[in-house]
Formats: sequence, C-alpha cells, structure tokens
Amino acid sequence: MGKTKNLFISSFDMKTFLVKIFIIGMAYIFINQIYLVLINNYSWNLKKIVEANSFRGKSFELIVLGNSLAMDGIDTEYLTRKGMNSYNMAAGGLNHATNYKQLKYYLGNNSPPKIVILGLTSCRKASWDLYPDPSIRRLVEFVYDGTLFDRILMPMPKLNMEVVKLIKYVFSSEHRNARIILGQLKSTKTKADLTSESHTKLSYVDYNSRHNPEYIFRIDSLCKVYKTKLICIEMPGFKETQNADPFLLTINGMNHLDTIDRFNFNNSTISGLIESEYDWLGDGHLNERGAQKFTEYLYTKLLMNY
Amino acid sequence: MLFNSIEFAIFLPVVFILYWFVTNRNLKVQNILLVLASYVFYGWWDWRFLSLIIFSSIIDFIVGLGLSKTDQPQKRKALLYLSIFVNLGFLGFFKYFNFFAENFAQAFTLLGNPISLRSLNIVLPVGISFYTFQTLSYSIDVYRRKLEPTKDIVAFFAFVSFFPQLVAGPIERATNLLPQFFRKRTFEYDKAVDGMRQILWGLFKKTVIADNCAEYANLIFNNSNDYSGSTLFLGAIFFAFQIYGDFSGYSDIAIGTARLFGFNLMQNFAFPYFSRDIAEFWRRWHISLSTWFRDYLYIPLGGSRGGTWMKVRNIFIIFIISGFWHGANWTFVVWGLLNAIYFLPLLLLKQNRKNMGTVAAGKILPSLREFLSMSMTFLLTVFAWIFFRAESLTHAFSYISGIFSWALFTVPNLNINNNEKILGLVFILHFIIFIVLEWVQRHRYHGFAIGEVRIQIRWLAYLFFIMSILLFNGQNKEFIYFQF
Repeated sequence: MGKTKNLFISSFDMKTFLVKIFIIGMAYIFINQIYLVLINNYSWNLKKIVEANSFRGKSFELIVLGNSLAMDGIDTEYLTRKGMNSYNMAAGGLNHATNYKQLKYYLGNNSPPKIVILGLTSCRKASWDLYPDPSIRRLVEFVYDGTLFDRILMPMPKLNMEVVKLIKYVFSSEHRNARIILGQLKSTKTKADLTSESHTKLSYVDYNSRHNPEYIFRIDSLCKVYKTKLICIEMPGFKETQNADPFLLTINGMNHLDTIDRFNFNNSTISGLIESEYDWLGDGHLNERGAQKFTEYLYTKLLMNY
Repeated sequence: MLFNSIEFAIFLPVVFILYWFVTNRNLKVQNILLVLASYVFYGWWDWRFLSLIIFSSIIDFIVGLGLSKTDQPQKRKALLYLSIFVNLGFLGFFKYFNFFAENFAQAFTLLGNPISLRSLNIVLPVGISFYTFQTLSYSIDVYRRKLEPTKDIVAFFAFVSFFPQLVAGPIERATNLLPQFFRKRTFEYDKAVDGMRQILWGLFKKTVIADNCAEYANLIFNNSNDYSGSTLFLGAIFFAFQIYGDFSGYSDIAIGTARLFGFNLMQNFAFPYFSRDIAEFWRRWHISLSTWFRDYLYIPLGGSRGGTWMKVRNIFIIFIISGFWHGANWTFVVWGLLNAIYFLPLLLLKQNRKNMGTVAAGKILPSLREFLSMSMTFLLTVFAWIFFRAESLTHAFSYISGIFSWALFTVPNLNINNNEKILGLVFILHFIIFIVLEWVQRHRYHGFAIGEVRIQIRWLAYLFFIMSILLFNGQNKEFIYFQF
C-alpha cells in the first residue's frame, strides 16, 4: 500500500480506512444489540423497569418506590394476599428524583393507588452518597425516554452498570434462582449480619446527606394531586446502620416534610424481628424470608390502619 | 470538549470528513478549518476564554514579525520580553493571583502587620499553562534564530490552537509543529490506523484504568482519617496509576487524533513506571514539559555545567518551578522539591544518564536488580504523588503519618459493597492486562502498537478494549491536567 497518496475520495488508502471504520461501526452496533438482548433477559432491574413502564390502566392499591432495599424488602405478593393489590416499582440504585419520574409516569397512565410507600435507605449507611443526586438514573431514562438513537447506539454506554447483573447471573446460582413477583425480587440467598450496633440519633445533616428532601416533597405533592397517601419508611438495614430514633420519624430542621408520614423501621425494634443469621441476603438487603417477616410487621403495625 | 464525550465522538468524524474531502485541495482553507474546529473544541468549554488564545496568538505573531525585521539586540530583547510578559502575565493572573495574594496577607499577618488582600473569584482557563508555553517556545526560538518567523497568520493560529493538544499537551515546540502547517498533508493509511489504535489505548487508560483508580483514590484521600496505613498506601498507589492513566491517556488520544489529520506530535510518555531511577523517570514522564524546562530554563541557567553549587541551584530551580507550574499550592512546590532531592544524588554522582535504554531490552522479564530498581523508583514517585494529590501540606503530612504505622502491615479494607467488589475484581483483571501490555510494548511508541500481530488477534483486541471502555469505565470523566 502506498503511504503518500494524494487526497481524494477514490484514494485506496482512504477507502480501505473508511471501510474498516464502517466495519467497526457495524460491530459496535451489533455488540450493543447483543448486550441489550442479554440484559433484557438477565437484569432484574431492567426487566422490572420495562414492566412498570408498560403498565396501562392498572389499578394497584399500593405502589412501592425506592431503591434495592425496597425492591428486595417489601413483599408485594404478601400484601396482595392480604387484600392490598400491590406492585413494587423500586429498583437497584434509584434515587428520589427517579422515583418521582416513575410515579408521575405511572399516575399519568393508570388509576391512582391508595397508598405509595417510599422506602428510604438508612441515613447511617456507610456507602458512597449517590441518592441526594437529582439526576434521573440512566436505566429509567433509557427505558422511559430512550430514542431510537439510544436503542441502537447507546445500550452499552448508558446501561453499563447492568453488566454487574450479568456477571452475577453467570457466577451465582442464587442470583439465577431469584425471581421477580409483583415487582419484588425474591432471593433465598442468606448472608449473616456480622456488623455491630452503634445506635445514635439521626440529625438533619445525616438526613440530608442520604436523601433529597426536595424530591420527597415533590413526590408528596404529586400524591396529593391524585389523593394518594404517601408513607415514607426508613428500611431495615444491617445493625451498623440502625438508629436510636423512635418509630415516628421527626427530623429537626425539615419542616417542609412535617406533613408527610415518616416511620422508622430501622431502630432497635427491628433487631428483635429480623434474625441476623437467616433473614439477610447481604449488605442490609432482606432475603425472601426476611422480606416476608418485615412486610407482615409493616402490614400489622402500619398499613392495615390506612 | 472532552475526548471521552459523545460531543467529541460526533465532532471528530465531522472535522475529519471536512478536512480530507472538502478542504483538502487548498492548504490555507484546510488550516482555516483547523483553526475554526479548534476554536469550537475550546469554546465548547467556555467561549469567552477564546479571546485569551486569540490575543496571545496575535501578540506572538507580531513579536515574530518584529524579530524578523530588526537586528538590534535591545529591540529584539524588548520584543521577547513583551511575549514573555503577556503570556506569563495571563498565566500569573489567572493561575497564581489568589495564591500570592493569600500568601502575602498571611506573611504580613505573621510579621505582626495584618493586611487584607481580597482574593478574586477567578476561573482558570482550561489549558492556559499548555498553550502559553507553546507560544512562548515560538517567540524564544525566533529570538534565538532557531526558527524563521512565519508570515502566515492562519498557520500560526492553527499552531497555537491545534485542538488535539490544545488543552493538555503535548506542549509542542514551534520547530516541530509549525512547519507541518506549511506542508500539504497526505492521508497515510498506516499512520491513521495506528493513530486509531493509540486513541483506543488512550481511551482505555483514561476511562478504565484512571477513572476507576480515581474512585478508590478519591474515596481514600477524601476520608484519609478513616483508613488504616495499608489502605492509605493503596490509595497512594491508586493515585499514581490514576494520574498516569489520565494524563498519558490524554496524550495518546491527542497524538492519535493528530495522526488522523496527518500530523506528528512528540511522544509525551514512554512507560515511566518502568524507570530504574528518578532521572530516567523524568526522561519518560511528561516529556514535552521536561524538555521545555530543560531547553528554555535549565540550559540558559547553566545546566549541569559549572560548579557543584550551580548544579544544585539549577536542579532545585527547575523542579520547584515545574511543581509550581502544576498548580498554585504549596503541595506542588513540595512535590517538585522532593523530586529535586531524589534527582540530586544521581546528578552529583554523575549517574543521571546511567539508564538510557529500554529496561530488560530483548528479554521477557527484568533481572532481580532491574526489578528492585524499578520498584524503588516507583515507590519514591508514589511517595511524592501524595503531596501532589493532597489538599494541603497538613493533609499530606497526616496522610503520610497514617501510612507509617503498624497498620501498614494489615490487609487493606475499602468497605465496599458486593457490586463494587465485583467491579473491583473486573478492574484487577483489566489492570493486569494493562500492565502486561505496557511491559511487552515498552520499547515501542505506545502500548497498543500491535500492527504486526495476527489480524484475528488484533480484531479481538479491538473488540475487547471497546467493550471494556463502554462497560467498565469509571464515573470520573474530567481529565486531571485540565486544571493545570
């Protein structure tokens, strides 16, 4: 091949180069489509977000919002058996801004539920502060607002976090055996809680560092428009994340949230209810057994009164 | 515009097509396209600061013309000083004003005469440290009569603002880059394909290696009081690879992009972590800046000629200024100082040019001696990087005292969740591939120069790296050197 040809479209060098770039472009699209098919089948997150997005004319009495703690921990099948037709819309890594978007879309296309439960992560959870961020999570954005351009070219760049689910699916039989029922992820995996308690009271600062009160307030305003009751609950977590606050959560300095019902399911009472050896699937997430126990408690203590 | 953004993925093919298919018959028009494309590239970040680049280009162009018209030493010197004053003036104001204002105020307070100097809310224009040094090299070379001043204003503006290397180098010498704007460029298949490989390698280093290291390094450095000595040590190593992947990745993308347009930029990194001593490290790390300081500061100061005192003085000046170039903070000055201390014994014992070739050339593995030399050099640089990364000197010293405790001999603990552990294992796999490839390719121009490898393996490698970049990139998108 000549190295210093003149420049025009018929130049052999340029043609060969462009053909190879075209092949790489096609390969890029191909691997993106393969990836989309794989995560459509093996990512719980994507599966259930797609399912929730497809609802039209549904009339659930109770909808659950939140992140993976709520997705694993609230047994909507149990609640439905108890006469509360429920669906769990929570998914891994979702923040309140994304929950708000999901709810708005759901209310626009379906009958308003009687109750919306927003599962809050422990304010003492030692993890990277992802939840106060007001940006919509890419997974939900992709499913709800994705264009044709996104679907063809962007599955890998936009949904790259789902690759972890694929890896888990390949290497973990417990992950493969988990199933989604009415939006709840039911897993029989067990991992004991080996952390220790260090009960302290929550403060305004703790609360703000873990949550985005502005979006909780927006979710509440939206619920009020549709005459739906919003109940915020702090989800149970490993002992190290539990607090010493009362069941009714009142956070000084958060006046604009005073009208919202907020309940604390992450204090010492929960230590008595959840068995640290059998009821967790890891990192403060309840397994199938723990979720059923917790939901039963949630129902008797709270929901049956609404 | 960031190299690792969707905007650049659209911008690059558009400019490429216009460059080779629309403007290719006229060199001047092609250069005008490069100037416009470069201004769009830079203006995407903040168009207001384009005025600085334009002003700096005009001044140095006029200085060049002025130098060509006079032989009077005083006039020539005045013109050179004008260029230095304008370029370093911009740099001094935007980068160092607040630093000096605060330090003057503190010094007066310590002397018992408290004064109040207002610090200004100054935004640092991206790339100012790079393009001011590049334009200065033109004025100095013309002054020294090493380069004929150009009368082609378009070519000169294109040289100052050439988008692949505008914001983070390599800092090109006018003697190398400027003449390339006067010659008709031809599309060379081999060069373009290797340029694409270098871009891919640069993106891998930036998005997979540096950005993932950044997440761990930020976590550890930002919460250094919560971590044990061994974790702090690991954090410093993460930062060492973050800064290497980030900056050398940028340089690879810049050099590869320039090659797509028929330009040759200088090599900026030559596998520096395989250096056997600090002198070799500085011949392999940020080569364009090191050689800039060597040619325009160190040698004019006397270099390594003269007595011992002169040598010591010059080494300290060059390293401290180099540190200060990186940022207006005492941490960078100490980083430079430390490197001077590392370098000095080699210079005084005349050992600084001992390791000139590739380590373990022609061998698969290094000898034990080479391995130990490389490890020691790497540890010295890691120690110095702590000052580079720390927020303040107090932070750096507390970080170092945290490392040197009994907890240094415990297992590091990052307190990460299950998903992060899985991603961590994938990262380790990528890191091993990265190190092995760098080692195997250490005698080459870049780590992914695989033109001689079998086609099937080459295409599998492309696929692997594209998928890794798309699926396992870290969250940190900005390039560290943008802030310098």
